[in-house]
Amino acid sequence: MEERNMPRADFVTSLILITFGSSVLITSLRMPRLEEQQVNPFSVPGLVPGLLGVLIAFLGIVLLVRSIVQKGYRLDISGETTRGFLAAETTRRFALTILLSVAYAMGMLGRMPYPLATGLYIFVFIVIFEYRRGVSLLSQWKRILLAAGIAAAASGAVTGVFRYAFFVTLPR
Amino acid sequence: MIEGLQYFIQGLTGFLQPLTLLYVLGATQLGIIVGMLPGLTATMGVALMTTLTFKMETSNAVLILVCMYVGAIYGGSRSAILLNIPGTPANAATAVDGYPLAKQGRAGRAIGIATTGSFIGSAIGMLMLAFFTPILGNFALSFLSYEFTWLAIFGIVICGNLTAPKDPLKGWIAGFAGLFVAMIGMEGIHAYIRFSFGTVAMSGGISLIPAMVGVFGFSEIIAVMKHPKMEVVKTKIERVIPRPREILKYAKTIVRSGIVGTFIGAVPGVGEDIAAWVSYDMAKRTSKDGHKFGTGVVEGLIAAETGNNACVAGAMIPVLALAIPGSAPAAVLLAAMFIHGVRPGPLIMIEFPEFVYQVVAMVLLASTAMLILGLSMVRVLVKVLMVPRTKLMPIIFVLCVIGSFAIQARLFDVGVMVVFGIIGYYMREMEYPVAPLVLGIILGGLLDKSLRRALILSDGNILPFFTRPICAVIAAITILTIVSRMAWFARLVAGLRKGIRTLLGRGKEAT
Repeated sequence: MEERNMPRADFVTSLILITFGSSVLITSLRMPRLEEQQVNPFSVPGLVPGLLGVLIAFLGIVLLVRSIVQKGYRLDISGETTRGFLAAETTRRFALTILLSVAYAMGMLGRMPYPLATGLYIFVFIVIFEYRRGVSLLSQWKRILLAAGIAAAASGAVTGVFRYAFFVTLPR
Repeated sequence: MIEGLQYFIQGLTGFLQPLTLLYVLGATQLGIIVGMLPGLTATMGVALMTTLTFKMETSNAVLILVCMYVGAIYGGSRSAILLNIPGTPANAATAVDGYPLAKQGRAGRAIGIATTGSFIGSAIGMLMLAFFTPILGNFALSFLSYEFTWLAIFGIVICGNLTAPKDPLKGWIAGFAGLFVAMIGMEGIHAYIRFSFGTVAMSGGISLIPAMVGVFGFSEIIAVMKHPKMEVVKTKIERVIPRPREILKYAKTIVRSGIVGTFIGAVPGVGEDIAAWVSYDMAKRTSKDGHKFGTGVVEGLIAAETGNNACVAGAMIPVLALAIPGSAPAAVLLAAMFIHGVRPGPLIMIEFPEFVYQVVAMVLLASTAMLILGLSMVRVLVKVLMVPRTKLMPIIFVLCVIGSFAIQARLFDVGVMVVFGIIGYYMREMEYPVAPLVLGIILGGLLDKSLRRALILSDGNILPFFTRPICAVIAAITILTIVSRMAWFARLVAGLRKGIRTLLGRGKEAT
């Protein structure tokens, strides 16, 4: 992140931290004191999380004050900046990486056989990132074939080595 | 001392079997490859090997993990020198003088010097590990809950301070957030389940390895996919093995970097990247060629690589003596030791003293393997750096998933890895260091139990936290660490210095 944007980022983060710290404190105060079990009051479950909630909220306030001094409250969010951010190549690559990886880890695993899910993920990842825009998909058949080969080999090797050579538990 | 030497020789001879030596060479080579590849860090490598060695015998499993650790920290120097992209954060300082050396056509020389520096750094660290671990372990036997409470707080404060030098506030925030993460799940005194929001999965808490794999692995994958294409320096790799007089010329720098690297490794949570930069910085300030650092100065390269590898052994000192990790990969090593039934901590010198010296023997074997492989497989391994990111990153993510899933066979842990990966990525973007977050997750349980037990012992009185001798020292260092970064303190110190100089000046005039 550029230095000039940091006070704005800090302003937003500090608000999140204050909210988070306060929530932790409130939840900790609501935790039972276990008086019916006659426990020592200094050993109640909410003691340490409550203290941490106070500390995190306090540090959030320090960050908030600092960001206000650096005029970080001027967020300058406009349609133009948002459109620029969404259209940037880095945003596209970032979003695709997360989307594909989350789809594999949280969507496919456990719902289909592991080697199939893994092979499919690697194949789709390589094809999507190596796909050249403006050129037809069919004409990139060598790239697609190589991706399929790598996906099959990697999936097979990983399953074979972990599951059968080292007896490591893998998802279904 | 004699007993220690006996345990060391026993440990070493026990490892000198053909299969074990094969494990050493294989794990170190794999570690070098892991370290070389941007997107894979030493922490990830050790976490993945923990999965692979889960069903192995304890000493072989820990040996493989140590070899992976040593190999990975060294391996990152390869991509630092040839690509100007450090393979692991520990090799960032290596790139500063290593890459210019490669551009001058001296890549082979740079690699040879980096390898030799790493080996000597490891050797110095190993000697200090053997010497200081028993001392620290025996000293820690006198620690009660009060001291452990302060140790946990001190660990977070110093880690936050050193890993975020520009902005320690962010380091401390990350550390306390990590301590909170450790509060999730069943607490250790009354077995009350905290912050689970009614879900069974959260009742088990957030496991360390999935969180670490996410923060160090998945977040790195996201960051690497955004980087521009890497260009390997097209240079002929000439003579790699350095001349002995070239190394002897920098003997003072090597020894200093080795000692500094080891001490920094012993500081909780502060790892090889800080050790490398501090060693590099000290070499720059004391060298007569200090002004030339950054243009391809051998002394800078050797200081960085000696420092970061010495840190590996240094990080294991608090792991063994206090069960507190000195660095992120050491944290995974600590978790792996617990998984294999080893109990590091102050009692290790009473219960398993031979294990400490076995670890020393493991560091020696790993360092020797690193030296042999590092000087002999250069030209072949350079080709590994040519693998495109788009093909490598999904495979690394698959390994991240396995590393998270395998220990407890829970898909929830894979979810934890993904969430922490996204959190870790944003932390990097916002310039929050991730090491204090991880250290917080490790120390949270210790802080929780120690603070509450201490308050029970003292019946709510907080005076013992400041009046017990060891507590007073740790508390003073902790408070000093916090205030030293505040402007009013710097002004106070400057004012005091000026006052003392004036007084001394007047005293000289009078005489």
